[in-house]
Amino acid sequence: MPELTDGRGPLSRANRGRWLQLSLTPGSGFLMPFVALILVWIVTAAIAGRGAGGTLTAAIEVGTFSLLAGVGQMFVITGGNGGIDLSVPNVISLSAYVSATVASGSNGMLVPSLAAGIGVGIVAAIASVILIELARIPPIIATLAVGFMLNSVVLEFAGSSNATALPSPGLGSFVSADVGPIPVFGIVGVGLTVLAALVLRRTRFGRAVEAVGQSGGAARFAGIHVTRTRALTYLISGICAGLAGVLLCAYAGGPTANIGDPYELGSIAVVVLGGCLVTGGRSNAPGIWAAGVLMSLVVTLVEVAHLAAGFQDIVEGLIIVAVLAGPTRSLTSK
Amino acid sequence: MTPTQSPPKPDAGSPPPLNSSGRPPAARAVVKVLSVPSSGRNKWILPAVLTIAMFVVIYLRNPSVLNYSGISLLLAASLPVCFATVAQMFVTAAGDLDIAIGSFMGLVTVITVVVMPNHVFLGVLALIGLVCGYIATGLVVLFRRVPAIVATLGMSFVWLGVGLALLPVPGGVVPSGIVKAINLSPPLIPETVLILVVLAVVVEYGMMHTRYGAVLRGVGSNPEAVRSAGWSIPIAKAVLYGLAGIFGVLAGLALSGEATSGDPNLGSSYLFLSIAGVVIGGGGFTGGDIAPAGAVLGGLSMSLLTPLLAITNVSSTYQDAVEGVLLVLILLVKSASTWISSLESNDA
Amino acid sequence: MLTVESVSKRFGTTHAVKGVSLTVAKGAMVGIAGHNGAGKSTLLRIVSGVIAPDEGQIVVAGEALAVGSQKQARLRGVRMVHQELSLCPQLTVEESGAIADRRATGLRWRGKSWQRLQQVLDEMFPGHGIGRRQRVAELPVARQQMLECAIAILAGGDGLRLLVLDEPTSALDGDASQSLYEFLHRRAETGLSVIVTTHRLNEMVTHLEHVFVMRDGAVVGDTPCGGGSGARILRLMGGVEAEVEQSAAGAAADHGGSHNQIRIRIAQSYEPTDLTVTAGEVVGLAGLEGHGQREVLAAVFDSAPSGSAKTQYQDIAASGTVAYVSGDRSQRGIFRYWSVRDNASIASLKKLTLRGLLSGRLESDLIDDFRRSLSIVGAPDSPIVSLSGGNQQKVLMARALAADAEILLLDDPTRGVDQMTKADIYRVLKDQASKGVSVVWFSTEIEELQQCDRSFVLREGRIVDVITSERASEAGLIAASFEEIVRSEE
Repeated sequence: MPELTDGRGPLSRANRGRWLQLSLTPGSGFLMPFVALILVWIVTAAIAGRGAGGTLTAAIEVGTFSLLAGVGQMFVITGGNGGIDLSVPNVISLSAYVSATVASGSNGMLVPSLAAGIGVGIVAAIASVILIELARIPPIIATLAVGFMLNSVVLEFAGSSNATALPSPGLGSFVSADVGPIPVFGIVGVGLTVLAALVLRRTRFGRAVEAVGQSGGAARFAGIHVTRTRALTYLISGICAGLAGVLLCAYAGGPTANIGDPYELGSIAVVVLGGCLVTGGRSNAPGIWAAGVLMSLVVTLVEVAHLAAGFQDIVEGLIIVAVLAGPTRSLTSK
Repeated sequence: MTPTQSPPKPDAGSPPPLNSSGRPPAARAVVKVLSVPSSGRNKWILPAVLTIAMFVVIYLRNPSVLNYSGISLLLAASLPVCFATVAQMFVTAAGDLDIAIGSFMGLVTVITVVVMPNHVFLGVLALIGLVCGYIATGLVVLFRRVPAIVATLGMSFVWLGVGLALLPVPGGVVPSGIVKAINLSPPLIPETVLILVVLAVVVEYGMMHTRYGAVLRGVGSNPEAVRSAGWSIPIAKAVLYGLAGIFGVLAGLALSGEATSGDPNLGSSYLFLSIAGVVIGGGGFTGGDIAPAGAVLGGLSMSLLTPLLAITNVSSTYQDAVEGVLLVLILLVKSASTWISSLESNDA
Repeated sequence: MLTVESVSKRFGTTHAVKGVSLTVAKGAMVGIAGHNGAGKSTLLRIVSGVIAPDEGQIVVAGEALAVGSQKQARLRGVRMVHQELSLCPQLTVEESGAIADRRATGLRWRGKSWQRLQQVLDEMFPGHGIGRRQRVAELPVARQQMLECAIAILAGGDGLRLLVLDEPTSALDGDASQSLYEFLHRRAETGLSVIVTTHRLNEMVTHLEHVFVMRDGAVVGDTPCGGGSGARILRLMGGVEAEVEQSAAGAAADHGGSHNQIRIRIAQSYEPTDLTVTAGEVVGLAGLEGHGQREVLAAVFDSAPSGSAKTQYQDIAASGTVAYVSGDRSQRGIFRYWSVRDNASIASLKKLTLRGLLSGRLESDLIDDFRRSLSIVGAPDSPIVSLSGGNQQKVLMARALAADAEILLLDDPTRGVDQMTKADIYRVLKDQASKGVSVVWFSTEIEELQQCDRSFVLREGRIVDVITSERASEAGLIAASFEEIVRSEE
């Protein structure tokens, strides 16, 4: 095809517009999480009667943690073959302890502590990949088993009660800093979302992830390295969870054994709410962002409405079922 | 029908093909034994061997367990795990996975302490309502074509939320009837053993040896085939989810009897225990691929882990790690066995 | 027996079946011919009550069926064998039969039902080799298809009046198809009516009495079978009458076998034999289905661009880039959530990447080229699943061609596609061969093997013969596929 190699010119303005459009509208499930987000925001603001903007920016800041864990989970789930990473909460908790131990409350150790936290995620991912791809253990079990093993290490850390295990104060102030009314961490989240969307729709790796998620057989014969692609999704999930652990620890001011627990089902919930296909092959990075913010808004909603603690879970559960009833039907039906 | 007959034996003059019948008889026998756990009807062997091995280790460390009270004590925690595993098994038979079983059991314990003590009838009604909730979830999965993992994920939040709303702080007192019911002392054989044996026999017979059991497995395997054979898919799906709900309630009741108080979060570890139990028991996630008696044994072996660690002086910190390693080991044996039996079938 | 009265069905904007009326007499064996997407399957599913028609009615044995009631159709003795295999993989053979068999009751439900099923199987496919306790998943596809046909007969029992078979022989070899038709003939003599669709025109002409031809959802004509009916059917279908063009053999001569792309060493025979495939050559893989042709293709694929791979009997080394076109569209072909564009470009993303990001413009140009050159019907942004099977296959062809590979591997790509698409595919292959691309083509159709320069005949995983295009007659191939001791020494 000679006419294809001719066109190596700079991207025209129109084409730039096109990739944005493509990367942001992967499917009919795209809008649902945003609609739900806006609805919950309006209800929250109406009940609280004030501070609508502040509510949203706070939710965007907190929601970025769900986004971080969820983006990694999204890659794994999109890779298909029953892919799911149940070790996320344990990676987060262990990363929090390890990074805090390395940092010992000093800014000088910021970079090593970040590296240590991410390293925890990488080690966990490698273990999961070995079990899944070499030993052929179903992902749900393999990552569950890896999570169990990590949890024992977390309990060791928690039991030894090391008082100097504290995050770098600089990182803590960065995570909770604001530029005017906008939280810095929220901007990080938006940047991460754009990055994830670009990787998924506009790189060979991203296309390969969606391809193996739809049909491993077809992907193989299209020349895609199926095992390597799936292995990389676990690595991404490990890195995201490791990073989330470091940042969460900095945000909370110190590690705890169950700091990762909300992300056990939470990371799957944002993927589901975000309009990705749980069976793989279809992803939606902006949806994950919206779902992460939505989850934090629900917490605010239950607080301002003075409801019992349980209602937060009930509302989240009903939103999951409600948001999904629409779009998944059109995606999964033939 | 030439192509469907078995291939002819290699000619005597030609060198033997690589992984073919040139293997000595002893090696073939080993291969045969190792390939047993992967074949359809023998799925219960692996969990049975595992359970017996755990018993033997416990017995060697502490011979006094081998009597009525010792066994009762040893198996005290096994009922909730085994019931939960069986509940999970029914959902996997439908080709689905139940994320909600843990919070569902938590909610059952809450109902036993909040509603049961004053309004027994209302409490029973509430439990029946919960089973209906399970059936409804199954029908939502079927008709709205929502993946089960998603619908049950949503429901797990709902069950937990309702539990928290009814009982924000763990506590309360489980009615003494329930506590007594799981601590009966029938003559000769401990109650738990009786229950587990009956449970295993009933679910194994019902699912593997009745015609409707085959239909139920078929629904998870290929619903279209079952529909065109003239069976109702919604009814079969409702039956599977209903059975999962019933055994989930039984698991929750057994848990409250054991814990004697209510807590919405009490069941949180049972999601993973039930999945592990199903897998160790020989079941798969492809729908219709179940091993009912194996599931009971799988649940039993998971519940034996705590006393096993205690008796071998391993810190409880490592219980999770041991569970993880055990899970991996069992699956490695399973993969190896499948691999070996595929070699075997290449030989034949 | 069966009367279809002006039945119509729409799916969204597609008018799948338009005012079809036809009659099938008691004991008649009729066929329905037509290209993919002509509405055959839809019509059959309406007849057996699986889907409800928008208009018209189905009359069985003098009584109109309630609209779209599969249950009522069943009670009237209508049974259907579906195109996609519809058995439960996790159930055993006897269980699969028993859940469809109303008489399988009581404690010995499996045994009683298996006796009857075995009887049907033995009569239908002598020497079928299906055991009662085997799980369906463990059976080869051909035996699954046999089992499915047998279960339809078993489930129908004595009340069976009309058997509807949608592509029943697609996974069966010639012998099994033959015995299936013989069985149906025997049943037809006792009053069973049969409707069959198949893409194998020869089968229709040989075994059936009458063929209705559908085109764009309507019945455009019908003809009794007999001498010359094949050409009549083709003409009615709107197919290309002389779809078998000259073989591509001429093209290879230009390249004169200068450059060996694939080397196949047949090990473990009496003495190792080497076969080569040269640039610009079209080589067929022949023999009965399931005798190792796909394994050879996969090994060539795995060994490219410069390595080696083994099958049970062959060592294969390929030099050059490789692309694969699968005829198994749903399992190894399409990415079903993607658009036509994404499906076509996936194997050639490297050359579409500018500065680390895929260029949307290059991607669009690529698909536009192929939509033109392969005449694909379907917009670049349409979901791939909205296309007909033939057009999906063309997209898969475009995917492979876009990869600019030096070796093109074809895994029966014309399975279940219409004559027009076949002609398009043949044209493209010829074109590729003339450009110096080596083509290895697994096909189950004699006419296609006649288009190859040479064909390697496989039997039980081993290449047992090499035949030239002139010798690729049905008799020659069958002889090579069956002969007990054949080696590739010509």
